[in-house]
Amino acid sequence: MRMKARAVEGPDLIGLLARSVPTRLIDISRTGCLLESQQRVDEGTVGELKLDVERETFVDDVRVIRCVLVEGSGSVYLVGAEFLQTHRPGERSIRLAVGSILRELVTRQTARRVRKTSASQSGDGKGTAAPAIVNEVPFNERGSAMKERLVRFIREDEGQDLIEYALLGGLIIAVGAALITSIGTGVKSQLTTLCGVIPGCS
Amino acid sequence: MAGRRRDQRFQLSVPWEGALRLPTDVIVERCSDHEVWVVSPTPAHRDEMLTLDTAGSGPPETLRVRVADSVPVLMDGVMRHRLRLAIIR
Repeated sequence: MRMKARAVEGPDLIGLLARSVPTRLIDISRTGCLLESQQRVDEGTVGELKLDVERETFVDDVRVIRCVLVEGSGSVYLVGAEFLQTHRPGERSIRLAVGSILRELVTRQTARRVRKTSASQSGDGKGTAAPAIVNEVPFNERGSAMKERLVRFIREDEGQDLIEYALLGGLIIAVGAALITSIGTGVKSQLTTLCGVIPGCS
Repeated sequence: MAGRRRDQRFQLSVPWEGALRLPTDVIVERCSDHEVWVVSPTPAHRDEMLTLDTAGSGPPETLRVRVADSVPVLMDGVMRHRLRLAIIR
């Protein structure tokens, strides 16, 4: 667009007006991420997510799928976004790096499982070394910079589901125990009454 | 809980700072050395800082702009917003 001293008519001139919403990355998966923002973002909005990591910028296209106001926070929103596969992930792709980390974790977990299985099969716990059936997936060099940074910062939340199941189990046990106790008390009282009515019952 | 999470998620011990760039298509109505008038489907806050990428007959250009005014207008029976943008650089 050529700026001139006088205002000019430009009916066919189209533009892209972009708003930049500051965000913080809370968590991330292969397909999406959770962001924290001070501004509300409409669900369905498509945009570009830029992350600044140690003076380097990583970018990917995302679509906002959820935006929830954090209660009691004033104006802090949690924004759920999914990565869009609009183009081949580049050197600075966020999802490329996450995929790389995930592959490494899966490889490690498989190796751990195989080691455990082979140890239990040998019987004495010492066992033989894990057989080399684990497929080592080499990292993509292009995403390695982001991957290294991610690995330094992330902590896996794999155990979170286990905690939730444990809490649910505990709750079921507590409710069951309370019910059984209350039924037991009722049965005992009925038996006592019955014993009082039947002669010779002690 | 099963199936609630499609994929394994990783939490960051120290959240990373970043920005979500949300683009909107606009029609550039008029422009001068210091200001640009555009018609946008969404309103904007006064003094909000935005980026305007233009693509027309000339070479594409990126301008840093500040919203000077945002007025709702009815165009072809559809609600639009006329934004007056002050060019920063």
